[in-house]
Amino acid sequence: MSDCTPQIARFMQSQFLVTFDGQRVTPTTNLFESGHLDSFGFVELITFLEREFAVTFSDEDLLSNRLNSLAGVAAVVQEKLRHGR
Amino acid sequence: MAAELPVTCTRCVLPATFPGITFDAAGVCGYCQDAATAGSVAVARQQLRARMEAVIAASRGQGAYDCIVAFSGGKDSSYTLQSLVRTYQLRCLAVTIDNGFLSEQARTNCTTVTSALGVDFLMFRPAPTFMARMYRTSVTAGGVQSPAAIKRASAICNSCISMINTLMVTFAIQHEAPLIAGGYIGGQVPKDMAVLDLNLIQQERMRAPQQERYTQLFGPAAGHFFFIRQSLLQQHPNGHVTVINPMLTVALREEEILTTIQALGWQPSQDTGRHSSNCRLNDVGIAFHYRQHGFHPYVLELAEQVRAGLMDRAEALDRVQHIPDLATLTPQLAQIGLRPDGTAAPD
Ligand SMILES: [Zn+2]
Repeated sequence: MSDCTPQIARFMQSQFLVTFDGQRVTPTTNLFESGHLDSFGFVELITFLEREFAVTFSDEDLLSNRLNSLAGVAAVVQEKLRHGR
Repeated sequence: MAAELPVTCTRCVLPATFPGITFDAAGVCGYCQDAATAGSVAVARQQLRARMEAVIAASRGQGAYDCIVAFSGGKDSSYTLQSLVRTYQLRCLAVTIDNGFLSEQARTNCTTVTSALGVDFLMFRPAPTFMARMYRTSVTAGGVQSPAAIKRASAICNSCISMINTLMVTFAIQHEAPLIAGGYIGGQVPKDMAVLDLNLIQQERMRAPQQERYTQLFGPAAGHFFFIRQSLLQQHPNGHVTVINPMLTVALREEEILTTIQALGWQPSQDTGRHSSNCRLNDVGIAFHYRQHGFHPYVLELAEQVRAGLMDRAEALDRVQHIPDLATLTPQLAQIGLRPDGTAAPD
């Protein structure tokens, strides 16, 4: 299974105008804290992930605090793909 | 060397100055290319409507009201309110946030339309000192909202929308309403906001990192205008409300909207500029946005209307090329303590 990170990173770069420069913003930066993600952005992100990867997110996923960074989002999606949900 | 970018997409009205835009060889923007492959808009709209109607059916009769309606007295929220009341028979509480720039006609429309529909109506007016500081700081500080927010609206509008969204959730909790409705139209918000389940605890966790910054920028009242208190959240029976935006599920031209609401006694405001039917500050936001970013803040929404066949391209182009002149907006600037150059005026 290929890594979904580059695809998610491209989406975040084009939609949220975030640049993963490895200094100010890295794959583990909390994008709510950095101010790149707001509630509208989060709707767009979830919609994109559900459409592109055919996954769905539960309340548990939303409250896990993992969907706040590129690395966190990619890890959750990867797990779902592995477990086929 | 890259080919020169077209000034404006040849199909919609998005300009080369729009953040992250790409064009193909024919000068068609990435948004139009995506739309061409996205399948039938009519089918997608139909599916959204079916989802919304299922949620409405399941939400009726739970609380004191079925739905809190963010009602500005403008044309889109007036249309939305009549649709919720007449088509969907929801018990609505219409809530208007008076930002200090509500036109007199919009104020009259609020009363006229809610009376005609037999709907309970609440007007909430945050302190003018708070509103002035919020609007002024949104312009002078820059980057108050997320970087991507500039694609959707001006800094002034974004702050206001964000505040109103939070207040609507607060009213929904207080009045035990399972639904919140807005009058957003295509291009103003993600399409999925036609029906959006909000997990309130998760929403607050997303916002929490910004609370300190907002309080510093806008003052202590930002704490309850932009964030929901834990004690209030805990009052909620299940921690979820559903946001619906019925206008995202129908294809309507502006003329059809106007015909419907004028029958309720709604009348257009004359002092709110071309892009708003209720707010006298809107043009100030547009002018500063254009000056700072080089594109009209309504361009994404108008491009979407053109793509959906709901507005002629020539009309949309005319609207986005007309930038309000700050010299004609001095009373509004004075009210929020700004000079025409965008700096804060001395007290
Ligand atoms: Zn286009």
